[in-house]
Amino acid sequence: MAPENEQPRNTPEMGETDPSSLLAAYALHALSPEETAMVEEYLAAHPDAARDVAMLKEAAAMLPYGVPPMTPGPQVRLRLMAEVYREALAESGEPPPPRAPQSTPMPIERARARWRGGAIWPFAAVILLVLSIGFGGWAVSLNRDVRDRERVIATQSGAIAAAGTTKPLLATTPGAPARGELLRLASDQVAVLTISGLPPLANGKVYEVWFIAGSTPVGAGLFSPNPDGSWSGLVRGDIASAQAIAISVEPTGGSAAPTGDIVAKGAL
Amino acid sequence: MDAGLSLAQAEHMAGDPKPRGFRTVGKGMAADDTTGQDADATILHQIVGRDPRGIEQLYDRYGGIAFALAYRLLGERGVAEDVVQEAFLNIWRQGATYDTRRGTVRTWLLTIVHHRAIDHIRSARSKSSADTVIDDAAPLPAKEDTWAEVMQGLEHERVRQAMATLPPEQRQVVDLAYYGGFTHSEIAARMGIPLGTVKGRMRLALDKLRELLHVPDVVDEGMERAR
Repeated sequence: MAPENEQPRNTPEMGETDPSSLLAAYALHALSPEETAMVEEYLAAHPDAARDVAMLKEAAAMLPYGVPPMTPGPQVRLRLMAEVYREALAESGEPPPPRAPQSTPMPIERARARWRGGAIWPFAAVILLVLSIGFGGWAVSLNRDVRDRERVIATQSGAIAAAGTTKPLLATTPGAPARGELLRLASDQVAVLTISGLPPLANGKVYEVWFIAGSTPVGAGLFSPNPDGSWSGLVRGDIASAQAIAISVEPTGGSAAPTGDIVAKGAL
Repeated sequence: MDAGLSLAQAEHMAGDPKPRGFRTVGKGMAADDTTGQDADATILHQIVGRDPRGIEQLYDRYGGIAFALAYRLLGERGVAEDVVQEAFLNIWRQGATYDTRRGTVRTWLLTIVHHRAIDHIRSARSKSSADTVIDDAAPLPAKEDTWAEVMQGLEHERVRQAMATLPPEQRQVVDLAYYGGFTHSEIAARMGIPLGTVKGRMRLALDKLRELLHVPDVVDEGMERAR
């Protein structure tokens, strides 16, 4: 171990600085940009020094634990996960299989299982492909007259304009901590729901997401939150037609219509 | 992507935000220290596989400490939250290139948060016409009530005790560098001591902290995993 008053092997006044004398300062991010670049060049050529720096950085990374703990606002998690899901969907580029007709909403846990296995990517790719480049041909095939074409184009424009917008969800019980966001994607069928502060569920219960068009709620998926009451994932349904989103407590397997308490809702 | 990782496993891991590096007993590394690093490795594996749940779990595990660090440095909640969000997005976007031999994902994350916050401080400082007085820029002591609350935390207490064992002059240069955002040259100039002394104090402090906190040899372990 070096003595405390160890002098650098070189100092700026003495000429070129020895990068090996800068490793601790480098680990503490206490170097100028020029010194940082010099050390990184040195580390690339000296594996032992790189190993030394890694250990110094590990020690430095303990320092934050000496700071009084704090909790970021729930919106940080919401914004982060919305962006991550948006990028994950945008990255998917696998050849899309034909989309199967969907008479009933897919439980979200099953959708998440498909995500885990990668099977959701082709579906996501369908959405993105259609929305990004396929609207023109799709529109032509659907339209038989100018009025229809204008209607479809208006719908497409609305979907594109809606992409990236978020709608808040709030707890239905005053003072309850549940809050979330629904992130619209460039699709009328898929959105990212991120929510926190949900109460724990009793055995045999799940949360069900509903899109409400007029007075008709349509199930958009089931989920069980994380132990801290948070959850992020995809929800699917006819989002463009819905005026509201709601989350209710339902029996495992879901319900045809809401039967339990509505814990959170928001206008779309 | 690790399709074999069950959601229950992942959620169990996500529910334990404690830094496993502190769960050591004596000089040796406790068994669950390795488990903690393995949990981080699993999370990273998910991120590399572009599974958003990896970031979700990483955030649940380290979001609090990342925010505490950013807030300590920046003192503004909104700015600190932006820094934290950007750091996690950076991990998400760069995860595929991460080399475990360079250290733990926790260290990587906290390093990003620290660097971004310090860069923010330096940028703001360079725009300020007033010369910063070092005493004003030094970290502010925690409020008494907050301090009492966090004293309950074992991790916090261990690090606090470790820092307390450092000679004051070593602790000061670490505080000024890590929390104040000063470069070693600035610290030397402002404290009126040789640059070599600042370098020596930094080195001694980090070596001492590593010894006191039993920081595992993540480099060797990372290389072992990479084999």
